Amino acid sequence: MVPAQQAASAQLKDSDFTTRSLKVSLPPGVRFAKLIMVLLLVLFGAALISLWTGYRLLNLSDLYQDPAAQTVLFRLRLPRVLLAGVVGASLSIVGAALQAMFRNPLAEPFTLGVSGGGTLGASVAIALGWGANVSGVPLVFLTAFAGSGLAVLIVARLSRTARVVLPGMILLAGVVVNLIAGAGVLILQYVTDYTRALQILRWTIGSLDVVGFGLVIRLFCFVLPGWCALLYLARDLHLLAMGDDVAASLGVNVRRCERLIYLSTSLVVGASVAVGGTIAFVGLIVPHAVRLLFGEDVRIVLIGSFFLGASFLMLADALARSVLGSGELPVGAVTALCGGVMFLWLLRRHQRYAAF
Amino acid sequence: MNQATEPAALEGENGRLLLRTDRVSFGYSHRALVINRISFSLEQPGLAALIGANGSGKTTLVRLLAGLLKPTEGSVYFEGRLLSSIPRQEVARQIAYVPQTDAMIFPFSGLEVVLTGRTPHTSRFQFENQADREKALAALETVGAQHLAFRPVTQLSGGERQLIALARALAQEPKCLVLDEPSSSLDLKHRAGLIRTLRDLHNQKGLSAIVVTHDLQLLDPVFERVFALKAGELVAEGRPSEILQDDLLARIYDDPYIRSRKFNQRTFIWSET
Repeated sequence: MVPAQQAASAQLKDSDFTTRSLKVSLPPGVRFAKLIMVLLLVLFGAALISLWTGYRLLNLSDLYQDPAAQTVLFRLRLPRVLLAGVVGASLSIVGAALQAMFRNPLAEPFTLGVSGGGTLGASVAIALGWGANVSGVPLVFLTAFAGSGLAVLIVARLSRTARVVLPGMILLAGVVVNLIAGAGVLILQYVTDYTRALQILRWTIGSLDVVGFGLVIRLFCFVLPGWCALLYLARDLHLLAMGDDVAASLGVNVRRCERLIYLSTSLVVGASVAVGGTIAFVGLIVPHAVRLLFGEDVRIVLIGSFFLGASFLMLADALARSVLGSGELPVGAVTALCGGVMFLWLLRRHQRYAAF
Repeated sequence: MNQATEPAALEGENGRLLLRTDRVSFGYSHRALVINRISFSLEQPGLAALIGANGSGKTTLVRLLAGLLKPTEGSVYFEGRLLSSIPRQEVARQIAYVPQTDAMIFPFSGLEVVLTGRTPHTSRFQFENQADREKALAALETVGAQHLAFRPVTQLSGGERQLIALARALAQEPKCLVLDEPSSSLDLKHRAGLIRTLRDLHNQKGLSAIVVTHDLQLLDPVFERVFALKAGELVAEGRPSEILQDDLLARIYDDPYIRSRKFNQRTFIWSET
């Protein structure tokens, strides 16, 4: 092609895609710095809003004198906000990682049945009475971890032919795993005694009700290694999103990488589910919001999802706590409602690429 | 015709040999071997083509050469070293592989895709810097695809994606390109352009390449060696003019209707219908 002609066509193409090219024409390093600043501000704002939202109105002068207000803020609100942050960040970063690894924009812990598996695992522990006592909480983590791990392995194995992951197949496998896990939970509820059945029911809907920091700290210790592993693999995930062969030829140990992702996603999702129940679609909404804001680079999507996920669930929980006035909605219902609509919209949008 | 190369003689020449396989076999399952005891070598710098009918094992062989598969038997050597003993990142700096198809799901920009070619040269927690960016843009320009830099790859045609994939391989700055049917979706101009690019990089920068192709007309005179696979075995190797003969091609492709004629320093090949 003649250079002048090429330049002209390049200009033409650029102007066609101005909004996109603005996002991608900045070097990733600069985009990354911008993203961290923006998202830290958002996180700070979300935490403040979430702390000040609730049945009891708090104001600064009260906090100095009124011990009841202090209790509400430090024993109820702060742990809850932190828990929402940890769970939201966990589900979102896992969603971003699963989307990249399976090259499927609709993948996330809920749609792939990873949450479902974790729920079943945790339900087993609760039904057997292991979850009732506080010191037994890590046991619920472990059974939920096992359930999530099993689910992710089943889904990955079912959807993978010799060398490719079939995009439709993986969602189908996820739905079926979810149904099986749901049936398992129902059976457990049916056969177990009344209080435990109620306990399982309340908690499968998804709620972030905590008192004190003990549970939050224990959850944090459990998910931290998973976060670190996923962030460590950020570059590998960026390459995996472009194809297994491409990643392998660029130096990624694909098998080892996949095993690490299975392990860390089930660790993170299992523990999050064991504490907060099934909170659907957070891992879908957040990574896509980050993509819209900051572009497709998976490394950026991962870190962005981490911060934005924390902010998102804090705000969703604040909404769930305040929308009914005195009562509260389960946060899982709020996210499922927003996320379900978003899922349908994404499904419609991605039909154009004939990927499903 | 094949397997006449004695391993002893090759060992002495290892300095000049870029890629060498020693009686390599591979099977995806235990039942059937897809690649059966293939010994071949590529000089440094060399331009080689791999031809053969569909399903003859070409893709499997190049995946072995790129280190993506481990041989069931035999060994692959890169510059005299066992390929499987070289760390992955170092292999990625030396050998760039372009797969036949890459199904892109996410709308990465062309430049983002090409920038991943810089991965073997950057460290894990570093983003690509300005120099990497310039190299990626230069690679896009080399393949004549700079106008695709800011287009989402999901909106590109098959041929345009092949150009992007080729640019990524060039951004890797490898010693050897391993290309699996890089021209299958390219138009006439870009097909010839690809061959010209390979020739220029070979002559000017000493780049080697092994190319799986069905475009037999493009082989002569640019390619130095042609290897022909049939049912997982190497059935012929030689200069393009030696391979592109009616009877030999008829045997390689199992098609008695294949004709080849030399005209104007080019060889034209067709199958009678």
